[in-house]
Amino acid sequence: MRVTDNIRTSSSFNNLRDLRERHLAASEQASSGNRVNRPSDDPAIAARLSRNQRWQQQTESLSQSLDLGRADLDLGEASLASAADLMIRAKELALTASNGSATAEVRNAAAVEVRGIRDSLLDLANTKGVRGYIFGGSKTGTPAFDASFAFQGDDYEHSIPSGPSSEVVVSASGSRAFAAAGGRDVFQDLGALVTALTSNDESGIRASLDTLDAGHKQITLERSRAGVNMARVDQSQEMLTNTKFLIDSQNAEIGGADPTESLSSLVTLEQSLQRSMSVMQTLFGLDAFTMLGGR
Amino acid sequence: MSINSLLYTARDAIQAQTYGITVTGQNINNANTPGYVRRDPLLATRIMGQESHGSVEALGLRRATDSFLEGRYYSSVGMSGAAQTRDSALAQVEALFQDLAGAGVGDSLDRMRSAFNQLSVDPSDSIGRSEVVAALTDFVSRVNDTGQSLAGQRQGLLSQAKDSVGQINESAKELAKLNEQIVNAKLTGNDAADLLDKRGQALLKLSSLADVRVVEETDGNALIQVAGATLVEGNTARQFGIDLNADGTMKLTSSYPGSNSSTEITGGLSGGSLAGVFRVRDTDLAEVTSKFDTFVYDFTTALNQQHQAGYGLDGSTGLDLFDLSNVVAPPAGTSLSIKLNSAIVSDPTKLAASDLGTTLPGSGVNAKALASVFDASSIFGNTRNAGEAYSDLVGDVGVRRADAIAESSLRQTMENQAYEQKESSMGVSLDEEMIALTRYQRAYQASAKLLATADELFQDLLGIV
Repeated sequence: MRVTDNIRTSSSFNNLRDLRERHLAASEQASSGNRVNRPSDDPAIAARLSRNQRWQQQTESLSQSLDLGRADLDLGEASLASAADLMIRAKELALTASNGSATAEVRNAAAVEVRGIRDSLLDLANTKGVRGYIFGGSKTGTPAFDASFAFQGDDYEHSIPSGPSSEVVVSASGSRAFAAAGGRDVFQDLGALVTALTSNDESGIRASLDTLDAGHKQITLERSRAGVNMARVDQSQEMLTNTKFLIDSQNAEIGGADPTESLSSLVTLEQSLQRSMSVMQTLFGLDAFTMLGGR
Repeated sequence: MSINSLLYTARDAIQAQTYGITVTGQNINNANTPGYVRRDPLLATRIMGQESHGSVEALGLRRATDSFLEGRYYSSVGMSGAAQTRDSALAQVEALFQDLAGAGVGDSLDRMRSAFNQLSVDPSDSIGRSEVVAALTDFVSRVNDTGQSLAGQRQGLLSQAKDSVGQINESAKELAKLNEQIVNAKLTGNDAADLLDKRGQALLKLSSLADVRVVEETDGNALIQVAGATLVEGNTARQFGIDLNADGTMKLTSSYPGSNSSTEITGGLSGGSLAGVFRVRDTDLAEVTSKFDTFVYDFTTALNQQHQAGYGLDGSTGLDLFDLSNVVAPPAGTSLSIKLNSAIVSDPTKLAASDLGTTLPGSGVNAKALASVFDASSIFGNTRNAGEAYSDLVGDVGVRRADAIAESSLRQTMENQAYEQKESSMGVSLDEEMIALTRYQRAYQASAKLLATADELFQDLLGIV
């Protein structure tokens, strides 16, 4: 082939340009740590990384929602635990007052304490959490029980997504825990106890022992439900953490650049560039004018 | 043979070698002149009367052209130009879907979904509602930006096509004039090599704009066809034009100067930057825009339907999240015209987080349902959810750009090869010219010696007398 000066120039220029482009790509890979930096680098992997981004964000979003939901669930469970303790105290007072040797004064004093227990229970049943009154079902804007101890809420159970196709309940039911829907209206039962105590009605006091026991059980049962849901929230959080780790690993595997490989490629290309420029320097010095010029 | 004839022989030799040095000098001078084709001096034996050992004469020069290699180079330049134009335009499209770097619509999809999730946790929270509105606004803004960028790019490519056609028409006029000048030069027996170089350069420029086919005629004319239609015939140039079809795609037309009628020649266009503009504008960008519009329309319509089914804190129901009323022919134009429902922007309590009017304000069932729209595959042919559908769109853009890069690289290599082959045959080698210069210089020196010898012979002869 006849080689002209323009061929030498253009060939050297093209080779150098090609090397520069490859060097830039290798630098980008080495500095970013990613093999795929834009969709055209590997369209199939880019699409997969994009899906993983959505998956990753969804996982983080679910995790944040569970954190928020968990706050009210924790508060509900703690309130129910306190409510159960109050019921135990009420039962203790009833048991003491049911003794035949208990005087009317002792029973009146117990009645005062039971009234206080009922008021404390009302405060617990009207606990406010992140999203409002937590025992009122969907009626989070108003207290779950009014001053006459009547339930003002509904049976709505507040559930939030815990995974791509799963949900978890993050509310406790005020109607099941404190009202007749759970078996006993604990406020009414406490009221009956107060009446029996103030009227020095021993049989009435004895009768309230069973109702208080049933009330305690239904509060404890609702607390157990809350506990089960808390455990589910914890499990979901753990699964989401594992999922996030899995996505990170997958992203690194499919889209990450091997540090050794990318650095070695960068060094190789740098050497190629130096060689190319050195060859160009020699090449352009090799012509008949230079060689014969000193003639 | 007389001593006089020896003098004439020396004179002819000096003239011939001087001509050789002149042509060599011309080659050296123009070694880097674009479009210059190497000249070779044509020397021949001069017959002197009946003598068989005659002198030398310079007949002229030969332009070392090869029309096959030239045609191949023009073609490769055209194909390379088309591929590079497409690659360059798709690089801009790719930047719009650069979700791996945090650009694109993907992030706003995530933000919307997250906002609906948070709202489902606490439906009565005003900050949560404001975040939903902010996320929806961000989504609409990004969609509008992407739609406007795609539309703006298509408009820019239309302008580029018109500019290219303007340049083609200018080139056509120049080529028609050169045809005339070349024919005239040849008719008067003049050397048309410089004019042919100019025509070659004009054809090269033309081939970067569109595919060119050249048929050279014996009288020096070149019949030049572009996109399969005659552009220049003799000293007559036709006019090309760009019009728009009803569907917004471009069409290339050809007409005689001054004529009102034109012929569509779009189908014949296969090379040059103009072909690249046609392909990327009316195929790649049109398809990407259509897919993006369809994605946005289907997805936002599904969100609207779900939102209509719910209830806002104020008891409002049946409201759309997105205002699609300005989308004239859905789904086309959705990305440009979509807006957020202004009633919701001004009053976020209208966001329908509840599924029933009776479970206000604590129910987040509809907010959950809105978040679950992001997982619904029924919107996208039961094959993928919103995030996957969008990722497929990102992948589609990536495939187009990767294809354009590969094609551009291949066409560039082919152009380089064609250039080297053309240059190998037609270009100037300074090595060769240096050797030729030395050769003519030596021959000149020998001719001068011949003249000196003849002179000495004369002197000797005169000395005898």
